[in-house]
Amino acid sequence: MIEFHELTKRYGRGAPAVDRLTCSVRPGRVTGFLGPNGAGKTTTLRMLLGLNTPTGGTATIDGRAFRTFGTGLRHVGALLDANDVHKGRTANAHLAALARSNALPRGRVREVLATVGLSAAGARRIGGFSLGMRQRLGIATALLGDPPVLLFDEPTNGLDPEGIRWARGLFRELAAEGRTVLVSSHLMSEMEHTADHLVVIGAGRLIADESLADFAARADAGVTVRTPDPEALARVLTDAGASVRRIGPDTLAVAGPTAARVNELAFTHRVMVHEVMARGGSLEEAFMQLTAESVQFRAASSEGGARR
Amino acid sequence: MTTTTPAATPSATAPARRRDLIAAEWLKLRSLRSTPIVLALLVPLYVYFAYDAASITHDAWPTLSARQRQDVDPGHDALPFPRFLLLMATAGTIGAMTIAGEHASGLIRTTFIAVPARGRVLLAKMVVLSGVLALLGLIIGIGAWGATFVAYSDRITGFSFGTPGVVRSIAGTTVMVPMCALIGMAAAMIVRHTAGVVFAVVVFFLLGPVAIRGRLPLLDAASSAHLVNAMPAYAWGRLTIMTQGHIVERIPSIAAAWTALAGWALAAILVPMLLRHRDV
Repeated sequence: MIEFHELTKRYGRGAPAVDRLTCSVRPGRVTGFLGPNGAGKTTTLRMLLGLNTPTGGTATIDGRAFRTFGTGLRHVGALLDANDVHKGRTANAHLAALARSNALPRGRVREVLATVGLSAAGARRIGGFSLGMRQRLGIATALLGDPPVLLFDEPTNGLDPEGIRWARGLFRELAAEGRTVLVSSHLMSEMEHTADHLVVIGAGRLIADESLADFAARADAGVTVRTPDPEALARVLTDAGASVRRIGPDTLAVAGPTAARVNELAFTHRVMVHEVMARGGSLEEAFMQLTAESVQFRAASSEGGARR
Repeated sequence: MTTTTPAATPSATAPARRRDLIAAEWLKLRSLRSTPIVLALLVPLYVYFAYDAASITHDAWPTLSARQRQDVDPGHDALPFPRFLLLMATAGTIGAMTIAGEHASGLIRTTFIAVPARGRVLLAKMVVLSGVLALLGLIIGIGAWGATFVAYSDRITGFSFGTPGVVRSIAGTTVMVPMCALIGMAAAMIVRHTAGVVFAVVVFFLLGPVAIRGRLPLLDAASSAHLVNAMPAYAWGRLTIMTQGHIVERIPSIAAAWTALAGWALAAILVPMLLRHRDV
């Protein structure tokens, strides 16, 4: 269980990078951590991991600040940036040193490399790895200590489609084992197939903390109808209480009734329709609508608060 | 909400064991190609320097008067001061790079996520690097004196490892090399910029001893001398001087020189401990 309480980080005098963030991340499910670029996702994760000191508030893992853990890897596995490695070392040496620092058996190195599909690349220098391979190495590092809490910051950057599918499966598997899994991204579509729950932030503030379904329902839904007789259909729909807007020579945008209801009304009033299409309600749209405000706000005050 | 959290198991707070951290840092040091290569090159280089200097003395020996022969200081041949400034700068750079390299690559974050107790990690790094460089200093000290005695051959007699001052100068070198590395590490904790810190270290070790020679502004002659003598290079240099024939400057006591070296090492260990809470 991860808990943020009034977590705040302010760099200099600008707008805070993270502003009084309060929410919790539960075990047993994949939680998506979403926000546009510069929303404060990485800063939040860094504070959670004790790398940056919060200006105010607390971030705890299982009730304790990360810095009070003795051996980090056994309690929290994290992939912040796949490039946080020394390029001159081999994957084996990199992982072996980390494993040793936490008194983990040497055999774990081979096991996690096999899990992420890098068995054959263990003896190669990390400098020669592609970004996708480094992401896999970062995931291997997170898994090294078999921890109950896992954090992944934009883990699918640079992964090929097969790799993305594999990573999604892995996150779901880890959550199904009862672990707390937090995966950040700035792409809603990526979360659609991975997360059970979403925490959305914009400009450092909490925008949403709810299930995937609830979040999708936030998007303004509507119906688009194509008909050879828009005047007649508009009359019928307005009489039924819908608000209708003409958006093309033969196209109407309808707000209020569902697509099925629009079809029903057209059928009973004998108005021909060519197409009835429900639009909106997608995660992508909900995300764009919710974060639009914070993105605009950030752009307007970029001199002060652009630093991540 | 924290009140409902079950009490953490003792293992959660059990700190990472020192020997594991030291072993991990040793693995890190060993697994980089550049460090062992640089260290391995330094030994023959400094043994050669000693042999070279001692050979010049050896060749000149027949032309020296009895009085001049008394003033010959074999410490100058075995451990030539200007060339050792370069060794100090190299050791300082190696120390700086162990910290700067981790910051530049971002590895420091991975390291601190694995072991949140930063003080312990830094201490382990210091132990490993100091140990390796102390060994380097010891090997260079013994090798340089050995080469000197070989070059002197049977022409310049009366010097051996038992000669007063030889063991002291070897011990001084054994302490000096890791001390320079610790200063470099501390500098890298302050200046978090690879090129910047390397420049600072090189200036401090190569230019510093030349720049602050003599009377310093705002200080009287005695204080100036104390300060200059406490510089790492001069403190170490004092330990290598075996005859004092023509030295007219204020030279520190052997004890003062040892104290200066220890003081630098201590300061270099404490500074990183004070800075360990900075954001990384």
